[in-house]
Amino acid sequence: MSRLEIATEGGRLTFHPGEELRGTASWSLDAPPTKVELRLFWRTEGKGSQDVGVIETVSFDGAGPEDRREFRLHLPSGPYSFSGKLISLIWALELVAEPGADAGRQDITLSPTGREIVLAAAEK
Amino acid sequence: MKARENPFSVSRVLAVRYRFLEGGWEDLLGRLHALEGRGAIVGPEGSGKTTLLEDLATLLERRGRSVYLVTLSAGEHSLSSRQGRAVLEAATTQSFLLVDGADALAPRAWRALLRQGRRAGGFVVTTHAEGLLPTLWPTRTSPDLLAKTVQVLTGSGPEAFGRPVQELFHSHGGNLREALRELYDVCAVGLPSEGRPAINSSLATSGQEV
Repeated sequence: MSRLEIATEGGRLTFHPGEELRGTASWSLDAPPTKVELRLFWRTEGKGSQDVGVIETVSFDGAGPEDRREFRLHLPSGPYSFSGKLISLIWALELVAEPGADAGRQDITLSPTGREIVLAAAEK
Repeated sequence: MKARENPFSVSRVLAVRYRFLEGGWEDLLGRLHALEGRGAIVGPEGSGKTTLLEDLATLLERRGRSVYLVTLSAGEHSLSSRQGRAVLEAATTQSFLLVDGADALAPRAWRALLRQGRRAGGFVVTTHAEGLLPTLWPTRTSPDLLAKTVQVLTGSGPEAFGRPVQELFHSHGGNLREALRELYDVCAVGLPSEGRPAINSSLATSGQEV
């Protein structure tokens, strides 16, 4: 079974807008990959249909079936991570390899306060 | 409860795949073969037509078939240029053409689609009523199916959310999507420690509060 993992530097999962995010992607695949990619994206979750915005993609050239690569991403100024009752916006990193449907994911928080913005109605 | 923690969020509900009340994939594929690859999945709103069509697409692809899936929304009376290209590709490459919401099309657009569908390697549509193509599979729901779906999503039945399954099912006319949306609101507002949760109907219908 394939394994794809993302580790952020120092295990940090909360970042300020505009910060640099550094980390390591590692994988062990059942077959040699044709492509391995790390994606920085946000998605919405809630009552309505899901929206997704892919902000940056890092391709790892010459990736072997068992490999480990460092990466650096420049985080944008927004949107911030937030949650209400009807919608949440969640930032995440995703490591995908082709062929195959396996992926590694790591949710992160992007916020100027260092915490997810919680809209008042969801705090109750 | 925060939206991302809500067990009835749309992405979690969409992750629950089609569950047959009777028969199964071999029955459906046998019927599709008997209909020479052309038929309609027919059922009311919230009965799983789209989910079944998506699952059929996945199954056909796993079996090595090339598939084009075109999704139409209510009010889309004609194909967009991108959708039209997909239909043409399916027809010229002998691929399977799957069209969700075909009854949204105006009669003229449907006739044009039907011509291309006859040239494709297979042609399956979803509709609310019989008549566009021979019925491949009717989709139905039941209180038990609703209960099982809630169980998959939460590990509990609808009763845990203050809604007896029969009452919840019938209050939405068997529309599972709407029943699950009601449970989303129940969770969003928060379950009281005892008794039935107070459902904020303005939250359920206004779409204003986030």
